Amino acid sequence: MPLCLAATSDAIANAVYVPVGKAKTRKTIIAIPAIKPLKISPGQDSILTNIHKKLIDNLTFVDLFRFISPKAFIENTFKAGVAPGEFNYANWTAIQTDFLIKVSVGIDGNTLNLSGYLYDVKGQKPILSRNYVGRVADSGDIANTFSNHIVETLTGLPGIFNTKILASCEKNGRKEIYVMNFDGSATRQITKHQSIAFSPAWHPDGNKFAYSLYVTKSNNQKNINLYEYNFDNNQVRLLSNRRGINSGSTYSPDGKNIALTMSFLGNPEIFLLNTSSRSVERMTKSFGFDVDPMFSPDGRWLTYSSNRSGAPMIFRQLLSGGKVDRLTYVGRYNATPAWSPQNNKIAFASWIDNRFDLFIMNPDGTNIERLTKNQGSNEDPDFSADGQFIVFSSNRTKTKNIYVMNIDGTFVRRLTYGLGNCVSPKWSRK
Amino acid sequence: MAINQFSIRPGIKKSAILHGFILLAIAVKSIVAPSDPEIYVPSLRVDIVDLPQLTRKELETITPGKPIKEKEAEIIEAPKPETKSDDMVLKEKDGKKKEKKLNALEDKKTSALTRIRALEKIKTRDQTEEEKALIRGNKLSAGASTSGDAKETADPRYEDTVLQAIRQNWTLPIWLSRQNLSALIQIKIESSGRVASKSFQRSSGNKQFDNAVLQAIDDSQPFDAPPEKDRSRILDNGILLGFPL
Repeated sequence: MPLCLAATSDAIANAVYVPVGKAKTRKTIIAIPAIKPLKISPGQDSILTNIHKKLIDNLTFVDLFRFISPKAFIENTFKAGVAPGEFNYANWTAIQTDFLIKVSVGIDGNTLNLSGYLYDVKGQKPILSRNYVGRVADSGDIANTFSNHIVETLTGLPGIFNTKILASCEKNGRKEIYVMNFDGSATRQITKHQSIAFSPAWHPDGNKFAYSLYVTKSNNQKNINLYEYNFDNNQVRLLSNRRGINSGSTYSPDGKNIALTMSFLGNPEIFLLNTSSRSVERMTKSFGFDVDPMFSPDGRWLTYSSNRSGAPMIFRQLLSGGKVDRLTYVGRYNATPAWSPQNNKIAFASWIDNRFDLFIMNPDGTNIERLTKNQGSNEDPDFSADGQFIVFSSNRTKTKNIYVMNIDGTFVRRLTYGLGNCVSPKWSRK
Repeated sequence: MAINQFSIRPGIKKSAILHGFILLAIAVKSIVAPSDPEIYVPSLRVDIVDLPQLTRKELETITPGKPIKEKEAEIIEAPKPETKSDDMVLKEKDGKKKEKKLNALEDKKTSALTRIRALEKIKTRDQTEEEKALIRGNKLSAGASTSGDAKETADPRYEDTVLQAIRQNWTLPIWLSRQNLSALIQIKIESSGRVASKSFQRSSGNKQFDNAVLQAIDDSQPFDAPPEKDRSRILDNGILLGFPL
């Protein structure tokens, strides 16, 4: 037995090693036949069509899939069922399908019942089967939840279809905070201060956000205060009205603290503000300005932009020990670092070719890659919850709008229309 | 002399026994716990000198490793200050000397100016796109193989044909390619070019990724028939494939 083992190991040791290298990537081929109606009243067909469209729109957004045209389908969708055993895999392998999504919907009064399946066609087995029950009015949310489960099952990453984006938009000359769905749909104005509300920041739970506001004090002095808006009760709470700037806020991953830039001591420095006691702790001490803080997803580091070394560069600071690393040594003006929730990348904006463009690098400052070029000025990057997309603002159409792209800089989609100049987009984690 | 002989002999004996033990220990170790195969990966040196000018997407279209030839610099010789043959002969009055000094200064000045202009010309000559990319951040250098093992790289190997075939079929869904997964698999190839066996030496831990690796090998079959001299080696020892490693 030991001899045999030695012989096997020896063979491996003698085998010539050949690295194959990076794989070519391809989009996964998916088929989504029309939704099968179960007990629905006449006139409710449009609900099914809308759910079907939503599924396709969602899966198109993530740019991982290619859809087979219904014209190529071999299966007789009227005869075939949706559950395992009710259809023939051969009809789908014949048209090169990788994965098949089958859905049936029944509507009983105000209640909608959706059965969703995801099949691995090559493996000839279901890899996801779920039932969703909800109000007919919430059919969009049900479609989003099913889309999340599809993406989670395939990629192992959280789906983003129930996430939201905050932005500061200047419509009618007033800057207010707006919220929208991940794809720019269902835009809604939240703040109504008739002033300048800016730099919103999501609470990790997704039910609150902090933002800064220009205010005029009773002695006619201008100030930038920090507030927190609560979606549960639509209430606004003052977090800080210390003299000067209280802006550029970001929540710690546990939601207990906010890191922000404050200038009540004179020079703009970064402070930690306890959200319950509202007490502050100073984090930076430098001659230059320190702005745009952001926590690492594990809560150990704080990144920010600082001009302490001359041109504004990206730094990271260990929260426990105060150890500071300078991350960038190139560029003329590096701003707004954003940490990927996957903890593997930092995106930032940098001044190049007389405008800002977006770059991405490892959290230790290595491997800087450029993502945008020749498309106006691009600023304020922020990652999606799954770390696969970056939301940013760009003036490529003259006005500043909010856009989303893949983390490799491809497939840019515009989210905002008709809201005036929109800046500082922030993507919710939930 | 005699004393020396007596004192050396036991020393040699001890040394021989000790060396014997060491050799035995190495031999036993290599059988019981053979070391991992040595990995030869050509290295690529990349100097970051500025923010990358090219986007990630654009960089993918440039093949690293392809040496970018520098345009041969135009050789523009700066004219030398003319020296008149009679300069050395004529050594006359102070006034003339001064004049000559002034002339020489003038000559020096014009020659310096021409030289500066020539240098400027070299600097501002038309740059190709590749050269522009070179200047701004994205410095791709040809790199050098540091394997240092001439016998491995001298001849085109059978393994290269296998690699070419597999590379054609090595595809991943986008979400898997974005994760840093890797696997090591050993394949043995029959004389017909068919795969006799494949076994994961190190799984990626992701079933989808491992399946894609197996798929790439299956889709590449049959490989070229191994040459006579390599047949037994390829069938017995096989090839260790790293995806992507």
